[in-house]
Amino acid sequence: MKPPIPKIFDEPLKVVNLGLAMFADNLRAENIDVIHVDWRPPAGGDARLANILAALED
Amino acid sequence: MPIRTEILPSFYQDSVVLMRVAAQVKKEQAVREVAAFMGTDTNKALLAQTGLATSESAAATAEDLILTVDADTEERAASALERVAELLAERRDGGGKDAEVSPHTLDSALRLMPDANLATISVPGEFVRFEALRALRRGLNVFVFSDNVPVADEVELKKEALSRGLLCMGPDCGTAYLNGAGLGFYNVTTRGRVGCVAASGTGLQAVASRLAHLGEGVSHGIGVGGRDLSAEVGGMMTLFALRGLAADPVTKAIVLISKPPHKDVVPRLSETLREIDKPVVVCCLGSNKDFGGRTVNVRTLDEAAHAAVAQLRGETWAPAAFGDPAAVAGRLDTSVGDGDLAGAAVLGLFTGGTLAHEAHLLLTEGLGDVGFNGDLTDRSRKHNVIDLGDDAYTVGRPHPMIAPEIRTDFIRRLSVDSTAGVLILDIVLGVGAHDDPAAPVVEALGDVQAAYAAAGRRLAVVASVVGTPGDPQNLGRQISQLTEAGVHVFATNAEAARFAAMVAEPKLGRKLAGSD
Amino acid sequence: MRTEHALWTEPGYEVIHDGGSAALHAPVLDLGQPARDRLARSRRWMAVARFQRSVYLRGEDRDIVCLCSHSLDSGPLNVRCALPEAIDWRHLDCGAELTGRFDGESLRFGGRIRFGLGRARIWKPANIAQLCNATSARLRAFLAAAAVRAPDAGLGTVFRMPRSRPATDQSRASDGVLVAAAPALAALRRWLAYAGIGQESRALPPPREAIEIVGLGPGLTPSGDDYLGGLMIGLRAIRRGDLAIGLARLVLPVARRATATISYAHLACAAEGYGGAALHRTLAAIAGSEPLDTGPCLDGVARMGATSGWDALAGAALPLCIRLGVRPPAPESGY
Repeated sequence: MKPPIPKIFDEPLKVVNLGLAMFADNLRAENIDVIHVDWRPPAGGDARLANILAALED
Repeated sequence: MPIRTEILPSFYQDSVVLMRVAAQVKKEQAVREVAAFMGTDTNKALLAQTGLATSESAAATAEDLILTVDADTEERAASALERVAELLAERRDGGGKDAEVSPHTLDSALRLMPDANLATISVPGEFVRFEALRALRRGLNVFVFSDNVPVADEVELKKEALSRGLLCMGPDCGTAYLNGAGLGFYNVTTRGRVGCVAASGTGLQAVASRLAHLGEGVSHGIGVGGRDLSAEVGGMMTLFALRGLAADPVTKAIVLISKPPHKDVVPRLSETLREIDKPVVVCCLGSNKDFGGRTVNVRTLDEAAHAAVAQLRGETWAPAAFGDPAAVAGRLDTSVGDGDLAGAAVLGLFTGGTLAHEAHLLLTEGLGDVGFNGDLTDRSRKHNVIDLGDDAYTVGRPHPMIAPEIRTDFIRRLSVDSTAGVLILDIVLGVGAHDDPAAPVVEALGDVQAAYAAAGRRLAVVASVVGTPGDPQNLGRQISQLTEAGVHVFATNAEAARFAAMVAEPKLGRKLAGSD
Repeated sequence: MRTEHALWTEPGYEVIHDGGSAALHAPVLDLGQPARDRLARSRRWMAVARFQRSVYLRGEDRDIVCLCSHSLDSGPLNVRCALPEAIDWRHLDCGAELTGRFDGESLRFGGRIRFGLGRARIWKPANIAQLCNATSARLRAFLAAAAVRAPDAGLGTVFRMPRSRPATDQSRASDGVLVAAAPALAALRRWLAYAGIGQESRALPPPREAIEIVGLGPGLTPSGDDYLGGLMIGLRAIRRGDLAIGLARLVLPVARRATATISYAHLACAAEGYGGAALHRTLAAIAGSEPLDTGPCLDGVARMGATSGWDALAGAALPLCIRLGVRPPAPESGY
């Protein structure tokens, strides 16, 4: 059986950037479609709680 | 009179939010009316009586929300309606209390770009699991630049990624190339035929830069993070990426850049490497393990690039200590002088972790015991290599590739409290790095050299520059700044390290430079 | 497996870590009697609306309960759980579907999330023993306070209409709601006056005009529905449950097909005498003997939604006004 190729190898990049805005700017400069998320800590900044929430998703 | 409506089927909003949004838009956009009603018959009759009904609102059901805008012009009505929908979506995502357009969460971003296929994540490490897991579950590949992510989180993220056939690059992935586009910190190169799987950002940068220098390029460069080949993570992403590149039609040769894999991972890695029917070059710094099959095992990043290019072109190639040994020998004789640095202590101050590691290995080979990330005030070790990107040195400051002060502080301190006679440095260029990294180094070296001269001491400085002519910093200008300051500049970190060792140990010089 | 108990000051829930995943067990603190009854009727509950601090679940036959944070006020359909404030309930699942199962003891979502009813209290509205202390002066004072704070949308606007503070910022649709509701509101006033709720009880069928405000007005629960629900609760407060039942028999079958599911669910609770806790507290305060502090009462009413609390209060105030001979809030000054 032929091993699977990650689909993204054949696709144009469409990027959501969470965190440093610099990375979004750099992608934009390369004409790559990118949306920068004005990120704020989830769960009111409580990382432990954020992780609980993430773990609860199936 | 322009009336516009929009129906949001089976969509509920807190009435509070609804009203606030309506009031806000009404004020903001100077329209006569913005109303949000459930599509009950009585409300539809009301809209009809007040002249606010449209064919859309007439078709709404009691479970639908009817957004109605009444404005002077068609354009105003349309733009107000857009604004309402935008604010509602924003609030529905728990984005925030303020009325801002830019999304605050992954999900609100996905509403604007539903076909996104990659999330680049550089949020604090403790929140990586939350964001990356969500991204993977929404079907996005992830590139996690953040470090300080617990290894258990990494395992979970990579399992999730694999179960969905997605890439999880990182955590602590500094560099990647996908479809010719660079991610994180990367050197500007044209796309090529060499697929890379790299446990280290600077390792990948060094290989990509060398490939560019040799006229080749990267097809995809998959960063996997420094812990992928640990026992806990089990090489999950390395194996997945290798198989992917093996099947990728653009990729004609593969380079694996890694640290020595954990022994539990070796069998799986060997098996995967053997199954690949393309040339594979393995640069496993610090290990001489032969993985068999078609793999070519190399010892340095530069050799990895050379070996891959040779394979692609069907050329024969053998590793050499220096590209131009005669020039090195000449430089050793004329520039360094009469062996008065023989026996000097070597100090490496690196911004690239893998470059530090590679230099440490080569220096150890030549000089014996060399400390790594030790305490410099402890004089028990003569030779030392420091990776200034290590948490112990950055302590909350930006990475030294962005903020050169971390290293220039160290360099300036040499004049007061160091025994070092040979200094080895790396200058890493590329997108994301400092815009003129050689300049602060040269300035600090000037101070140190003056202090050394006053004390009647000598300091030889050796450096390599990782970069391409396409990089924003101007490769030529970076090199000339260093050379003008008397720095011995080499094209590769391995050459710089070997040269540094030879300055401190002239016997090596004769052996190494003459060995070719 | 290791069990982590909450470090938060909020009441206890458990997070159980098992390898990479976690399970959440949260106790239900209290739930309205109607919510308890409805839970018992269905095994399968599907999320139909999700908000920051609550999820509306739908069972069989249009039954609705509202699973929510204990930071929300109690209410007939509210199943209030001990979960940290910071949890955004919209993030409690990953897909569009969130389906829970109720087994008599707990409500489970997937294998991970469980809300246990074992220690839950049943919430019942504050008992309005008698209206002996509800004097006309007390009610007038309350209406004066309400007139100052009433919103400019929905039927709560009636509080300020007759009191020389005409709304200047009302829009066409908001005006329209009042205009459309006026005949029904006038008919309901006449009905209560003729029914003689001040003196003797007379059985009088409710006016058919009442159904004209079913599903009328802005919001998730249209203002007209909230008004009718408030009216039923106000009638029970003055011991005229018979009239409340008569009104319910008229409007519920209409509302069942003519308004949104969640709104119908609230209206059905009102027919049983259950409204939001803030509404009951306000009525009890008016009827009580303590000095009347209108501020906290109206704060609670305002928090019931953008206009829902005010809409319901407008309905509930009507029977009190007529019983005590106070001019009720009305959209026109002609009463």
